[in-house]
Amino acid sequence: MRFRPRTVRARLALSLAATLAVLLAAFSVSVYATARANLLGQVETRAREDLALVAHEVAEGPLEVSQMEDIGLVALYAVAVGDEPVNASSGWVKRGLPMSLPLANDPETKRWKSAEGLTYTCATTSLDIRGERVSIAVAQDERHVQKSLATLATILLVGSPIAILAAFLGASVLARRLLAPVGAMAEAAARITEEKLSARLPVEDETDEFGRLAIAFNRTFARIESAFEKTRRFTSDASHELRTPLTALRSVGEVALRDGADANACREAIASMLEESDRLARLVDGLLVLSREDANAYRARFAEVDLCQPASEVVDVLRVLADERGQKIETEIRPGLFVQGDPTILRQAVFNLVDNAIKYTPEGGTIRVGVRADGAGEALLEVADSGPGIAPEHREKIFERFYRIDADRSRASGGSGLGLSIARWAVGLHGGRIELETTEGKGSAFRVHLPRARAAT
Amino acid sequence: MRILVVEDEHKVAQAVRSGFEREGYDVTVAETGEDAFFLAQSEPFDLIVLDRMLPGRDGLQIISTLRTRSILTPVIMLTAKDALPDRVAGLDAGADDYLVKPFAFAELAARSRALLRRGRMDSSKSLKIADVEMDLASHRVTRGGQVLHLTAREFKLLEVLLRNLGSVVPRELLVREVWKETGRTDSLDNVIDVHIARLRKKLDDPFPVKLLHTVRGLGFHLEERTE
Repeated sequence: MRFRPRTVRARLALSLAATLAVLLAAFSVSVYATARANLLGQVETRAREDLALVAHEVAEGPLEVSQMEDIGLVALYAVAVGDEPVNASSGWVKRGLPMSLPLANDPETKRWKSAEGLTYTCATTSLDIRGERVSIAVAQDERHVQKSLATLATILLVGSPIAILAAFLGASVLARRLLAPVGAMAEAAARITEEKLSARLPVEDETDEFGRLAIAFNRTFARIESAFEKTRRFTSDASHELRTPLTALRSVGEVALRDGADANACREAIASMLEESDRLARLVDGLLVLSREDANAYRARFAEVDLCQPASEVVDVLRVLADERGQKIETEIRPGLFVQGDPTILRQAVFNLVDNAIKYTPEGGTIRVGVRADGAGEALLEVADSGPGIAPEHREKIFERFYRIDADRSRASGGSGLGLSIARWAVGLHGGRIELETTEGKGSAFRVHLPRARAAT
Repeated sequence: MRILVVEDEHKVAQAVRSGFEREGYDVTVAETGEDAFFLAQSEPFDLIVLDRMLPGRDGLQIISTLRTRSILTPVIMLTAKDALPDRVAGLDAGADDYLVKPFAFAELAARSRALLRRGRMDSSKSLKIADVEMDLASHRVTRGGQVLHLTAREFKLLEVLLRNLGSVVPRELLVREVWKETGRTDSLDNVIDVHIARLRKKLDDPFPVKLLHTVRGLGFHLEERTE
């Protein structure tokens, strides 16, 4: 298995150090090689210059240069005639350099190793001087060059690891500082639990990457919090709504069972209990509709529906209620606006809207139901009333489950508190939206926009 | 007429049994899927009322096995599940009707009557109670020879009540038969009340003998009663 450090910080520092090591190694090798070539080249040049000087001296003077002294600054040289060594400087002899010299027509350079283990750069040449074949050699001690190169190597070999280590530590410290917000975020996120959803991640700088990350997370947390809050409220609302009929059932039953209740009172009590159980059943059905998530099961049954159909049918069914209240229902329902949908569910949505309008419009008012194309070419169903309108603070909430503007009144009129929620759910299922336009004191209009099943012809 | 009631909830089973017995049926109750399956195969029944969720054997399984063995006794399925796919699955398996819990017994009784009647063509062209006569062909209703002017909805309402003489007609049945609604979430209670009031005004108000009565919590029925 490959080695893989556990923290991002270690991974970052290690990879930086490794990169640096490779770079430094390549750099060191090339620096060393260049320096060595340069230095040795200089030594060689000097050897050739020395060779020329010695050759000149030998050609001018007698061959048997007996004095074993330096020629100028040249301390290491040797002269041979044929294979016989003739002369060598005292330095040459002392350092144990070879006395037999190779024959070479052109000057050439070689590197020799002495018996003492020192290396020399030698330049040799052979000349014809007064009928004799004379070989000349000079040598340059490389000791100082080797010393310089050794120093350079030491610097590189010792310096590189130090640099790498420094880089590793530096990167480590830097990464720790850079990544500190991540650790803080992780800790803060761990503290955000179901019970404490209101907590948020710290945002140090809104503009940098971590800040943006924290802000994005915070938005998600906010959404989760509001979803939780909605669920909590729904659960408490639902249990309240369910408890009301249950309480009625229980207390009516208890009263009827008391001594002295005659048969008529009992019948009365049982009838009242049956009514409450009907109410419970309806409530549970409504909740079931809303809790259903398998929207696909519905879409599979979608067919083309002329929107005028559910609209006219609902008006036809509910008109009697409006009549009873002295209200007028005006319709302007155009045929031919087709939508993809489930007729039952669409009808339910329209029913709830019209039913709602009748309930909340005072006696003698007017309700308008219209079906037409809207400006954008979508199908529009409009249910408008001449009721009291809806105050701004209620406008968003009336679509929420169990939300009631006037709790006592709507419960008395038989509302489950789910009508508009179901309408919105139904419209959403069909890919549409509900808009509410309302003026206090003048009335409200619910407009349902639905995508059309086929292009207008 | 023999009815097999398959229901594991004892209270519900006993209520359904006594309800049917009161209507004059011979009732057998099975509380497990195995018992139900055995009984349905070994004894002849005219109708089976089958709970969907049973210990031992699922209601859907029972019904499809019965159908593959050519036992074609009509089946009304009872279920606490109201999701559309469940309803479809029930009918696909071979159920003849489908009733969602909680249900009104009167509703179950009415649907049972309808299923038992099926096959025997109802050839009567007119329906009667006391001095009221409904002519189905000409859509005319008379009481004591006097023509009552009913709207289409009122006519249908009276027809359903007349077809179920002797028993209380629950609101659910009216919703289904008169208004052709399938869902239960939208309450038509107010609408029904208005229509009943109007029908009563035309049918009963001018006459001393009252026919249309409300049974609170249950529904409506026609009965001769002097008040």
